[in-house]
Parts: sequence; structure tokens; C-alpha cells
Amino acid sequence: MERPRVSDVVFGAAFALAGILIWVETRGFPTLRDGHPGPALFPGLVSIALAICGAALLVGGLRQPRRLAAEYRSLSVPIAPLSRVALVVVLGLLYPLLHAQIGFVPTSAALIFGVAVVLRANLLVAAVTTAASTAIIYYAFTRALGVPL
Amino acid sequence: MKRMLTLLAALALAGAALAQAFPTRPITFTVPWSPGGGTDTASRTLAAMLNEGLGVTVNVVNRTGGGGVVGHLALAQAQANGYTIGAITVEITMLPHIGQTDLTYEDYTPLGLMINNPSAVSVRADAPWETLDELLEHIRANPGELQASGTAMGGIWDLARIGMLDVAGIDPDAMPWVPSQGAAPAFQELLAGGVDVVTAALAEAAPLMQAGEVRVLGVMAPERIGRFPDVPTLTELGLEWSIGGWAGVAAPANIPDEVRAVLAEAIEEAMASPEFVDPLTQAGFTLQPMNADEFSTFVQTQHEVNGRLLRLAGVVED
Amino acid sequence: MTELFTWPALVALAAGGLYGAVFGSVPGLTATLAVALFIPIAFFLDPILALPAIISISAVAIYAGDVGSVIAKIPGTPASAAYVEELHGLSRRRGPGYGLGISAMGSAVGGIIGTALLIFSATSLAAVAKNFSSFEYFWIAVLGLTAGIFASSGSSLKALVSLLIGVMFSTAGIDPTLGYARFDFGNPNLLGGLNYIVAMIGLFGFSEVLQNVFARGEVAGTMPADKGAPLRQFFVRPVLLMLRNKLLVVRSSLIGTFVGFLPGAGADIGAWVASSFEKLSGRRGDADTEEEDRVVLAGTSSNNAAVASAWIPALSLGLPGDTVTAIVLGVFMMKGITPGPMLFEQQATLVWSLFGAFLIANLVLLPLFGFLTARIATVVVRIPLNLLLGVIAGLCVVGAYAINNNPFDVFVMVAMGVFAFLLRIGGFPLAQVVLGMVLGPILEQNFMVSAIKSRWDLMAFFDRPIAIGLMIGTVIVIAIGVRIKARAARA
Repeated sequence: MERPRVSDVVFGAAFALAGILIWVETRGFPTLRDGHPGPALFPGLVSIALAICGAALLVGGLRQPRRLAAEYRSLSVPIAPLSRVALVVVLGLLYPLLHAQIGFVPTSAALIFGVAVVLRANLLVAAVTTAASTAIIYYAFTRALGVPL
Repeated sequence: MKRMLTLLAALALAGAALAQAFPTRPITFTVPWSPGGGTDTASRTLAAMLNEGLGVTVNVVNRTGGGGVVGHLALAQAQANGYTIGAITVEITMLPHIGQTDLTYEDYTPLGLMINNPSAVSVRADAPWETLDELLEHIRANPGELQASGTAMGGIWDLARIGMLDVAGIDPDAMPWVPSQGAAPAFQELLAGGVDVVTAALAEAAPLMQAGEVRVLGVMAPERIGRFPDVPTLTELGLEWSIGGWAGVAAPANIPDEVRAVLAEAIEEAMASPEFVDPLTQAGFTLQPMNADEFSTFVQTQHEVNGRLLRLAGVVED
Repeated sequence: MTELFTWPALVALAAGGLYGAVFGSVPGLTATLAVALFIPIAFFLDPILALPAIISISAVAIYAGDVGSVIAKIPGTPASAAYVEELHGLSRRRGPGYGLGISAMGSAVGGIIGTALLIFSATSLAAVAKNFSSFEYFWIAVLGLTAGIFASSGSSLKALVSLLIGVMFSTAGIDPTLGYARFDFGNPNLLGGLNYIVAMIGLFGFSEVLQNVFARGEVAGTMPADKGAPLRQFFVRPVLLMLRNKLLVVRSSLIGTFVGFLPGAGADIGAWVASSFEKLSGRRGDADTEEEDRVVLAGTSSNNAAVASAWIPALSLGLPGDTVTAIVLGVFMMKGITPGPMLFEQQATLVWSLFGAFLIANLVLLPLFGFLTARIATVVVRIPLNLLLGVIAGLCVVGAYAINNNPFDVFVMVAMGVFAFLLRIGGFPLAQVVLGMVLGPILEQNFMVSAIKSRWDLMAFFDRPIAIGLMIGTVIVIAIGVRIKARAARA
């Protein structure tokens, strides 16, 4: 399957830019006492390589401008699927954000239930699965495996 | 108003009762290093003893990352009620000088020192130096020829090298440091001929010494270590120098005095019990039990000594 | 070895295997954590019980890292990430029992070959291991990274980008030369860098959830039930596969053994090199439908061979290669057992029971618990995907947290999940990101150490015989890889 070239252009540009920004950042790192490069050397080289690879992707994508334009016109932003993804990401962040206040059980239950509902599970079945799996995970980790949650 | 006062009084009484009954619920014991390391092993053994001594469960939780900063920070920021205690290690007297954290020993209530593993000076078994004097003579005569390793630049075993050379009247640059990710990779380099000397814990050198791969020329401790009676101390060799990687127990700063007393007593008792001493000594650790007051003085001294050494190492600029 | 055939010892072995199976299968729990939680118990046990238990924990846990790959394309170890696509793909085609069968049988044979080498040549292998300095490590890391570029089925340029991103991630945190904090954004949680297990849970697990939420049912599709009787799927077919590919199994196990005995390099590089060898040799004629099966077999036999050989430097030099063997040395010291060449003479009983434990763990426990986990996996994959993905999302969060008990890691995990979701859209492979994160620090550390110790005389990288050998190996991999990729592009 041929991948869309638009994504190559976008990703190539993004990685090239990221590579350059990281390289600039590494210029501020200190050198070793004898003046040889230290902390900056390795990330500096990797960022240059990343920038070159990004540029290669970008150029490779731009080589066929007509196909690129046609593909670009046919693209549409899938708003509903993306908002579902955003919702799940937020649910995933509940535990680190709120576990100190409300604990593991409600935050984890919200995530498990949320994903099931977004994927069109039957509400009752989702609720039962959520309750059972949250309980199993909680007890397995805290009691049997000795990992406090 | 009157009702309010009664309520306050009741609360105060309840509070007092709670304090007297400390501890009434499980205690969390944080460890700033990974499972399986020396600090972790000592902490888990102590926690098992404290379970009995305090009559509540003591849960060990590893909070690793950031060269120990993450776990030290977690302990300092925990509620100062005695229900979170944890291990603090030598790094807490080094990191603030390097500027990697604002935390210092003053952010803790020291409760006791568990282990203090002295550094050893190790060379390959086929190296030409039979004694530490011969090694130091060689360094003095050929500055910059030999290289040493043991941990990261400016880490505790680097300070061991600097302090030893300084006391011997040699410029630390005469035997430069090759950074490594810890003692085991440094010994690997030593065996492969990549470096000439390793200054790292005697406990780490012991298996290699017994396997006949390395020769230990001296240990940087005030007295010989019980399990290794043949290894001379630097003091005996005329160098007034000792240093070790230590791990102690502490609580966040400003815990209530009664709670501190309960914890300090339980920890002192646990550290004296053979169930704590025997397995750890046999595992090669050097125990240096100190009670809460001794440990408080100890961390303060360590903070000053290590700050001076880091300046000498050139890691910290004045 | 008779000490091993007492009830307490056998129970300890079996219990260790079960415990390892659980820790290996759950994302975020690792063999290292399993062994560490076992320490306080190990100290009070007789070593004749404690050491076999540790052996069976680590042997079974490495295999169980594949269970997540089969069920949900979430590898449990970086080694298992090397062949996750193939393993998941073939489990979808021919049933999870067969997929895990290849994994368990391959692991068992790899483990036995590794043990055989441990028995017969520990001392001479240790002599080789002793000569590995930072130069050789540097070239090993280069070889592993090169294998990663050509291990991708898609564009090598994109594989290289993924690898570079992984290496870039690994540079966050305190640098190995000066202790300077790089890319930490003032957050102490970043000082120690990004944990690759946490990243792996996000890259594979959470992104899989996001992908399915995005497509809602279009990518999904449940896994077929196993065709044929469970025993046949798990034991007979994989064994027949191995018999058809005897050379492959032996070659991969040898790679695993030789990479595994190097302290610190371990099972991950072995699995990557072995499986990408097989990927490069590719399809054998049009009638060949077993390419994926062979790739999995190569990776899985190599990583269990590495588990056994990681004990070589620990036993014969007193030098721990990884956390597990470091703990083992701790138990040795505690019980007054001296490692070294003399160990094999002075503690013959102990050494032989260790070897026996390795053999039992690989011959009996791996198939047994492997079969058990395969049966469980067969049931789990029948759970409707919309419910299963919810539970997987929950496990990703718990697993990421459980590594260090640090809520910050859950943020990292979620961010990696979102990033991997984007990478998938762009057609970039994910396993190479993990490989970059694992090998990046080895590459940088050993390059900098070599440079500092040779006082920046870079010719020193080409001075030592083993280093040159590894360098030539890298060049050969590049040459073969480029040729095959070019041929594939023409076809």
C-alpha cells in the first residue's frame, strides 16, 4: 500500500524543524574541562541526522507536486474520530492528575468504562466489565504483587 | 462559640490520643534507588524489622529516577506526620552543591544511619603494584598516565579518588577520571584493560577479589572491615582519609517530637537486631548504625566535606 | 543435583515459574521487579531453594513478555518488540495458541542451548567477556542499531527516523560525561531520562487503544479461534516448525548466547539481531507462508539463550551483567559462596543444581506455564474488543505507574501513546523507537568513555581485534540490507 505523500511532507518538515531546534538547544551545553565536546556531542549529531532525514522525506514527498495537490484536496479532517481520541487521552490522564484526591478506583473505572462506551459497548455490559476488571487490577496489584496504587 | 470551643478541645484531645497511639496505620517507606541495589536491600530488610517493632505494616516503595532526586524530593515533600519515612543517601549531601536540586539535609528529620560502604582501591590482579604506596608513587612519577573509574564524574567514588590523592599530596588531575554508569561497568573496564584503577565500594569489589580478578590495595575506612581482615585501611598506610556511600533513614522535616521519638527508638532497636545485622553483613555491606542524633551531626559534616571535594573536583565552580 | 529433586526445591521452582509468568504477562511488571520483590524472602531461604526460584522466575518471565504481543500487540520486553508485528500477525492468522507455542517452544530450546554453553564453556566464554571494553560495546550498539534499520518491512528511511527519534528520547536527563541535565525543562522527573518500559507501554499499548478508538471497529476484527486441538496447536505444530528450521534455531540461540554473556548488553540486542537476520533472508519462494513464523522463532530462541548466558560473567568473574544477576551475586555473598573459576570446583553441588534448575525451567516449566498462559490468552482474545481495549487502557496506566511508582510516568506513557498514534498515520515503525531508546545510552556512554580514555584519539576505535570484527559485521549487515532493499524496490 502506498502511503499518502502529504503525511511524508508534513512529518518530514516537522522532524527537520525539530532536528534544527534541538541542535540549537545543544549549542548551550557546557564542554568538558579540556575543551572537548561533552554533553552536546551526541544529541547534536543525532539532531543533525534527524534534520537530514526529515529533509529527505520532505523532498521525496514534494517531488510529485501534482499528485500531492490531488491528494491534499481529497483530504478531510476527521473531526469526530479525533475528538474520540482526545476524550480517551483525557481519561488516561485522570489517574496521574487526580489519584491523590480520589484514588485509583474511580479514575481507572472512568477510563475503562469510557473506552468501552466510545467503542459502542452495551452500557450494562461495559459497567459490569469495568467493575470486575477494576477490582481485579486493584487487588492483584496492591495485595498479590505488593505494588501500592 | 462555646460549642466551637468544646469541639476544638475534643479535636485537640483526639489529636493527642492519636499522637500517643502512633502508629495506627501502615507506614510508607520510600527508596530513591531501584529494586535490588544496596539502599533497596538494606531498606527492605529494615522495613521487615520495623513491621514487628512498630506493629504496623511498613510498605517499601521505590521512587527512582533523576539520579536519586525524584525519590529524595518525594520524601521531603511528603506529609510530616511520620507515616511517610524513607531512605536518604549520600547524594543528598552532593546534589545541592552541583545545583541539581534545592534539597539539602535540612529538608529531613534524620532518624538513623543504616549502611556506610567504604570505598576500596582496586587494580587488576596482574597489575604491577602490590601496595597502595607503589601505586601512589607511580601516579606521582607519571602524572596523567593512569586513569581511574567507578561512577559518574563528580559521583561519590570520584570524590573517593580526589580525596585520596589530595591527602597523599598529589594533584587529582594526575590520575584523571573516566566516567561510568556505576561500579559494575567500571570493573568491566578494569578487567578489559580500559582503565587502571577503580575506586568503588569494597562490597562491589569483593566478588571480583574472591574470584581472583582484582587486587584490593586498601579500603578508605577508619578501621578494617570484619569480613575482609586482610585489606589494610588507608589510615594504616599513613593517609588520614575515609569515605563511603551511605544510606540512612529519615522523615520529612518538622515531624512532631513524639512521633520522631517513637520512630527513632524503633529504628535503633531494629538496626541492633541480628535479623538486620547478620544477613546484611554477610551480603558484604558495612553497617555503621547511628541513632537519630548522631546521624543528624553526620549528615551536616558530610554536606560540608562533600561540598569541598566537589570544588576540588572542579565540578562546582566557586 | 539430587538436592533439586526434593519437594521444597521443586515447589520453589514451580512457584517461581508461575510468579514469573504473571509478572512477564502484565505490562509494566518486569522480571527485574519480580526478582527484587523476592529479595527479602530469598535472604532467609536456603540458596538451594532461592537460586532455582530466581532462575525459573527469569526464564519464564522473558517468555511471558510475548503474551501481550499476542493478545494486543503490546510487547512486554524490548526483546519482544523486535518481532511483535510478526507474532501478532501470525496469531491472528493461525490462532493465539500457535503463536505462543512458537514463542514457548523456541524459548525452551534457546534456553537449553544457552544452558549447554553455560555448562560446557562458562570459563572460556568468560575469558572472552573479560576483554570487552567500551570500544567493543560501542560497536555492539552500532551493530544492533543497524539491524534495526533493516528489520523494518517498510521504508528504511522511515525506520531510520524512528530509530533517531528513539535515540533522541534517550538523551534526555543527566548526561554521562559531566552530569549536566539535558532537555529536563526544569522538571526533576526528567533528570533520570525517559524510562523505555514506560515508553513501550505507551507506544504499543495505549496507541493501539487510540488507533481503535479513532477507527471504531474498522481496524478491529477479532482473532480467530485456534484451529485444531490446543495441544496440537501449542506443542506439535511449533515443534514441527522447529524441526524444519533446525539451523535457524541453532544460529539464533548462538547469537543470543554470544550477545547475552556480555555484561549489560543482554537479551534485547540478541533478539533484534537474530530476528532481523531472518527478516533480511526473507521469503523462500512463492509457496513460503512461514516467513513470520521463522522471524518469531529466531527472536524468541535468541532471547532465552541470552538469559542463561547472562550468568556466565556473574558465576565465573563475579561481575553482574544485569540487575537479576546482581541480586544473585548478593545472595551468593550472603551465603558465603565465592564466585569465580573456583566456584565450579568448590561448590560443585550448587553449580550443578543451578544448571539443573535451568534445564527444568526450560524443559518442564516453560512448556507447562506457556501452555497455561496460552489457554488463558485464547479465552482473553475472545472477549469483545471494545471491552478488552478498555481493560488494556487501564492496564497501561497501572503498568506505567508501577514501574517506578511515579505518576509522572503515566503522563509520559500517554504522551508516547499520542505520539505513536501520529507515527502510525505517517507510516513510521514503532519498534525502532524502543530499540533507539535502549541502545542510545549504550552507544553514547561507550563512545564518550572510549573517547575520554583514549584522550580523543579516535583511531583507537579501530585498534582492537574484537572491535574490528564487530565493525566488519556491521558493514556486512549494511551491505546485505541495502542489496535486499534495492531488490525489493525493483520487484
